[in-house]
Amino acid sequence: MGSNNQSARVVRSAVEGGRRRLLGQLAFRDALLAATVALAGPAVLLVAGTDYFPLALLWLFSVAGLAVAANHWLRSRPAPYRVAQQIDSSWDSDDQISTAYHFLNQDSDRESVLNQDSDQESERDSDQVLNQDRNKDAESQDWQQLQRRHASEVVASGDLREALPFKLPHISYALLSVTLLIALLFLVRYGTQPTLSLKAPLPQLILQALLGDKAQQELFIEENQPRPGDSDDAAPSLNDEKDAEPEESGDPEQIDPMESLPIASDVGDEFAMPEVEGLSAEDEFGDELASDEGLGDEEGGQGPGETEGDDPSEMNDPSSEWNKESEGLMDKLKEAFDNMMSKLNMDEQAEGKPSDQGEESESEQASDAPGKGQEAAGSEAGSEEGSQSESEGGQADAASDQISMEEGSSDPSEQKSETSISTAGTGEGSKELREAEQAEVMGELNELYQQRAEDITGEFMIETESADQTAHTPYAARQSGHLDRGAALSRDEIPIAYRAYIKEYFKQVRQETEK
Amino acid sequence: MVSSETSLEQITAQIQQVRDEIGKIIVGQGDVVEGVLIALIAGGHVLLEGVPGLGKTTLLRTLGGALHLDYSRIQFTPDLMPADIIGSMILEADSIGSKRLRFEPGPIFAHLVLADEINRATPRTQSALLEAMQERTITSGTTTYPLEDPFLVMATQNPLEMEGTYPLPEAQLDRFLMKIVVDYPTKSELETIVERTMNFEQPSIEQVVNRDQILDIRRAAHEVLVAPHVQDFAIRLILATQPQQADAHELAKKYIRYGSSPRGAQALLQSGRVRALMRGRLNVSTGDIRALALSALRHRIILNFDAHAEGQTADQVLTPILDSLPDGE
Repeated sequence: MGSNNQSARVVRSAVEGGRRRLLGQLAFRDALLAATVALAGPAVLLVAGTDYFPLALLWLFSVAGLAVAANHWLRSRPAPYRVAQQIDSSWDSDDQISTAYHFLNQDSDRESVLNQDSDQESERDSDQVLNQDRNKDAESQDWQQLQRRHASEVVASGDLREALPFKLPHISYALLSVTLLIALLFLVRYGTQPTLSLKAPLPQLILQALLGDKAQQELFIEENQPRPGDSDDAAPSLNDEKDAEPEESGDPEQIDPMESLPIASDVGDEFAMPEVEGLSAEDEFGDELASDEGLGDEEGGQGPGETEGDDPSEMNDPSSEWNKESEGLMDKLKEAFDNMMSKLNMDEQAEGKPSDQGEESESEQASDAPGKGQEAAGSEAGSEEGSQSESEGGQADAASDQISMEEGSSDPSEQKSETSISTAGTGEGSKELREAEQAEVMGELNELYQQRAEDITGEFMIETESADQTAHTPYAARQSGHLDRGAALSRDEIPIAYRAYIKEYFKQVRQETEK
Repeated sequence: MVSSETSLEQITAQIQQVRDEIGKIIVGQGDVVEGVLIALIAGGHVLLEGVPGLGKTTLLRTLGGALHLDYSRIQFTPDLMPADIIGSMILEADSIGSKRLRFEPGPIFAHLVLADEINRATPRTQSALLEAMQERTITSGTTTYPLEDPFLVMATQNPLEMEGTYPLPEAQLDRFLMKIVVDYPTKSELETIVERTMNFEQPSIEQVVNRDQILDIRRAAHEVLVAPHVQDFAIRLILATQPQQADAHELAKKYIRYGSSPRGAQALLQSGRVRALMRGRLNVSTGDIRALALSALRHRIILNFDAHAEGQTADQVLTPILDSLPDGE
């Protein structure tokens, strides 16, 4: 009898111990759930600020978390019989513990019922029926006790910690995520404002920080604007030819583009070019680089100054301060650079116009493409102007340069007389020659356009130097594409495979003309 | 009265003795031997199905030899008549010359009845077993004769696609506690079978368990405890095979025309009790139910035309249903 009680106690304590262990795990899980819900409050406040939500929101979320967790815990509490089944399943004990636990409780219930019945019915002379029930129960009592003993042996041989091991609940990942989010929001919020105020919403703070930096950058630009005469200390120029060019030209009417930088930025809209013009300006710039180093060097991140042996870190000394301030400065300088380039275009046009007013008709014909215009300007202005066009335009490659030099090497007076009059009546051979030159030049242009049509990634430095100023402009466009892919390009497309043939053809035509 | 752990050990030892005696003749087929013993102790009947030559008849004959019980064998043929099974009234003359009718019991009056190739008899003859199997009585004329416990019909049948077979009626099939499929022996088992066949001396079978011991074991099996969640598992399994039930499995709705009857649940729990007892346990587990589910249910479900058209067998339908059921409530 004592051993039966002991085995019953072992089974009961195992089931209840397992249930306590499960309840503890569930409590831990629900505590994590409560913490997750409660931490959502600070996250909301860090984003929205106390301007929109009061601090009492923290209490609200905490109470809600506790309520959700308590409700979840109460609902998911397992019954002891269910815990016994779990232990059986873990130990693979063929349902011995759950069966023993079930009949253990059934026995205690039945005993209490039988005792009540015996008290009530002993006076009614129904002892015979009662004895029959007791005998019937007694038959199965032995088996139940024996089964309980087997179950207690199973319990004694096992470990509840193995049967119901602690598992990290899945809600812990949610809690970790919320915690990381709060840390991130905290860093962002108090990294962008000097005080520990929780009032303003985070998006507003971020906008203020960005706009505030931009204003500081504007002030910084105005303060650090290089004055005339300081350009001698500046970094080396893009190329030596360009360095010498303004001095050699000595054009008093030439406007320093860097002097016009603040003006251009102020009146940027006035000088804003249409998209095609902007592309032509970019092409000019790109052709300069292409003629000097090629596009691959640009993509390699080497600035023009770097190719001349200068240390880029030295060049970046003034700009590194800018970079620390904000990237908004890059945008502003890019805008200034665009304006500067448009200004340069206007200067070129202004230089070309007064030199020969009679060329309007021809320049209009050739104004569809900048290469044509420059070629016309080069042929009109003679060798000196031809070299200038080569350096300024820059998009013509060595072949086109040779052609222009050939033209420039001819008698300027004759050429001027030829070009000043209408082209009607010129010899057929010279017309074909011109067309061939144009075609060849446009073929090169086409090649350049194709190169430019590729996406350009990476960062590179644009350095533009005039007589007295130097601007270092970090070109911030991460990706650019050639937008003009219409008829202007397809018109002059010459397949690469046919270029040699066409070149040879026009060479023969030229020889026949010379003969 | 079996009421102590010693008695439990005796029971398991006796069952093991029977198994050992059968093992002298039958090589392998442990599940088949266990199924037949479960049916004997649980008070049911067993149907063995398999192609000829797998030892079905030998197994049942060996079992009859290992138990100290009356054993009879009926070879079912197409011309077998019901009277050949249950017996008939014969005209008998006494010493003074007066004649009277006397009931001559048939081979059904035994503890162990081997109905060999039961599906070779006509349905009329097969139905002669119905009363004996269910009511454990035989009625001849106007007289009903009780059959003595234990009464076990061990039937063998060849697969239905074989020539000259008559499928058992569903009502009779339902009366078998288990339908056990006898499979081919493994290579090692086959080697042992051949070696034993080559030996001149055949092992002798001893009667190790008598009728009273079997009845004691049967009584003890009734005391094996069934927890509510195990009982619930058996019920859920039966309901899952019934296509008209809301909880029916998808395969049941697709392939089963008639699901298992309540006798299926009874068979599961009865045979589960014996199986637990044979393993020295005094409680039925869901593992017992799972282990016996195919044997107890495969002949209780009737597949529909789609299943036959797609070549589905009862085992192929029941196995996914069984796997889909969780142990707990």
